[in-house]
Amino acid sequence: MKTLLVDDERLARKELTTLLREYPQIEIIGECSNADEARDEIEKHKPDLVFLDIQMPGKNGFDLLEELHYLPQIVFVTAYDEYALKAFEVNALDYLLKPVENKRLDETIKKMEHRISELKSQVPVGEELVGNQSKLTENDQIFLKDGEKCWFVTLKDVRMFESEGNYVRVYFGSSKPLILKSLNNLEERLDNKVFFRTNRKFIVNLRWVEHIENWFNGGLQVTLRDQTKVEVSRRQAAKFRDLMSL
Amino acid sequence: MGSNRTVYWVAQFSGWLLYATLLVLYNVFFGPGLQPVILKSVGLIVLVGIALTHLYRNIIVALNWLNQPILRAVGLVLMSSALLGTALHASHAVLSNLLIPELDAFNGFDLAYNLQMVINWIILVLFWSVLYFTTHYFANYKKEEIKNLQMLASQNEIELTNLKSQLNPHFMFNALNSIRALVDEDPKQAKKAITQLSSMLRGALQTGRRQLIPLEEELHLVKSYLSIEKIRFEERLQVSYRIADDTLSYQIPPLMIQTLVENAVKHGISSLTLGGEIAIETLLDGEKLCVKVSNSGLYDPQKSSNSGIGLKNTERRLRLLYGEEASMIIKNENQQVITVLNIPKNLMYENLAS
Repeated sequence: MKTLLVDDERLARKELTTLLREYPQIEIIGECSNADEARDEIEKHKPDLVFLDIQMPGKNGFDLLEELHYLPQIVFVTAYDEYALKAFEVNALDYLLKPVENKRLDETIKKMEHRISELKSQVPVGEELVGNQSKLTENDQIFLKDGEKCWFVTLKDVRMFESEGNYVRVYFGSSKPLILKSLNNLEERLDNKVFFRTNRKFIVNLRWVEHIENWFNGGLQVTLRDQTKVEVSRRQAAKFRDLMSL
Repeated sequence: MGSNRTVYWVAQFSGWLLYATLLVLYNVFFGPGLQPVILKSVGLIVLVGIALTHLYRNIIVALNWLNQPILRAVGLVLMSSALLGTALHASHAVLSNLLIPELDAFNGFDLAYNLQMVINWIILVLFWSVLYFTTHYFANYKKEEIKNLQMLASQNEIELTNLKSQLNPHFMFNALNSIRALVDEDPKQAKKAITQLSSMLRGALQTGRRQLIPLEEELHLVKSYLSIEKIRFEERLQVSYRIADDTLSYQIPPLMIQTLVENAVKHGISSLTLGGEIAIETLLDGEKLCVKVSNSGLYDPQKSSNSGIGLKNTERRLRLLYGEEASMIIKNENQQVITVLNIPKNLMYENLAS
């Protein structure tokens, strides 16, 4: 596992390096002392795993995650930050408390190993070589932050995206946070075999479509499994029929 | 103060009105009955009474008799009651002779009669004084009590927040984590760090309970604290001291400088990627102690909600202990945040919270 350490304190990084030396499967590819450095390293080397300190001068750990296009598995490492950790509501969040206990580290690394190998096995053979690297597949995770709350979401759990001005509302589970992104920008980054732009306002996860019916003006209306109804504009309806092989 | 004035006038008028009513009733039952001339006379008594006691009250306020020691106040009251009683009788007698001739109250220079009237007036003035002074003593006592309680609460709060910040989990676990890394790298330094950490904790536990400590003791605590943060921040934290020798024994409220320095680390140094410097300076400015803590960074009063509590509390403590004599100033200058404390030598309110 290619691993990156991000912490503004040298001694904290050193301590973590010492601890991780016990795990031959972990290959530390670098250390960063701030968010900007870390962002460049992550986009460049695409590590599997990042140990990330939350409180850093300038941008903090969450700011970093929001800026990333490529999101590796993240383990937060913090001295004590009840507040920051509380930001994560439902998600299985992995964090370690400083000073790190060996047993906790053991568990975390096992979990990460499992998750990363699972992710790798899901990538269809050859897909990676096609150069589709910048597209997010449904198994990819994204990091969302709305106000004080944060989520890690696997894309296949997202039902749809809705454009609201300069923001996009993301629907998954019982949450629907608002993030500062444009729908066009998202459309470019999402796998368009799974995430379909039904009209100016919506991108829908096709795996969640339960029911399709004809609508006015040659458009369609799709009903998602949670009974949300979304219109497909006439312009997109042809494409949609193709995709769904209707 | 507006409400105090209202209370005074209400009491003044209702007191005299009550007295007038009693006089009228006395005349109705034991005297000649309800006659216009009686009413006029009673009205004159009330007017003269209010006028002269109001003058008396202005003298009390102007000469600050309320804050005199109790025995002195009693003496002053007795003396002025005698004078005022005489004055009241004289002015009443003259005025009633002029204004209500039909009363025919002028008994000439009948000594017994005049003496009796003067004594009547004196008793009245004494009664007035007792009411006036006790009301004020009671109000002052309550004010003082409130101040004491505020002081105590502030002291407790400081003690608590300070304990919390010494045991501030963020600081504590970061420190322990750095020390753990240091054990491999520099065992000697690690041992030193543990000693400093314990000395800091002990200091914080002990000093919080006292009202004043010598500056030297406070500095010791601050130095231990900063040396631990220095391990964590390494070259990102530079510290300099300029301590005048004659300030070392100066008595100051504990943990005040410590609070400022902690703020400097938390909101200054730790938010700067390249770190910065903290400078602590003390000097005697006449009789006052001047403490200056400066750190790299920018103070934004709108943003710092957390440091706001620490600063506000420090300001409140200074005010409660020293009144207007002490001050705290915080300002931005040359990309530095500068906090200046001016602490006078003598407490304004002593033996509080002991």
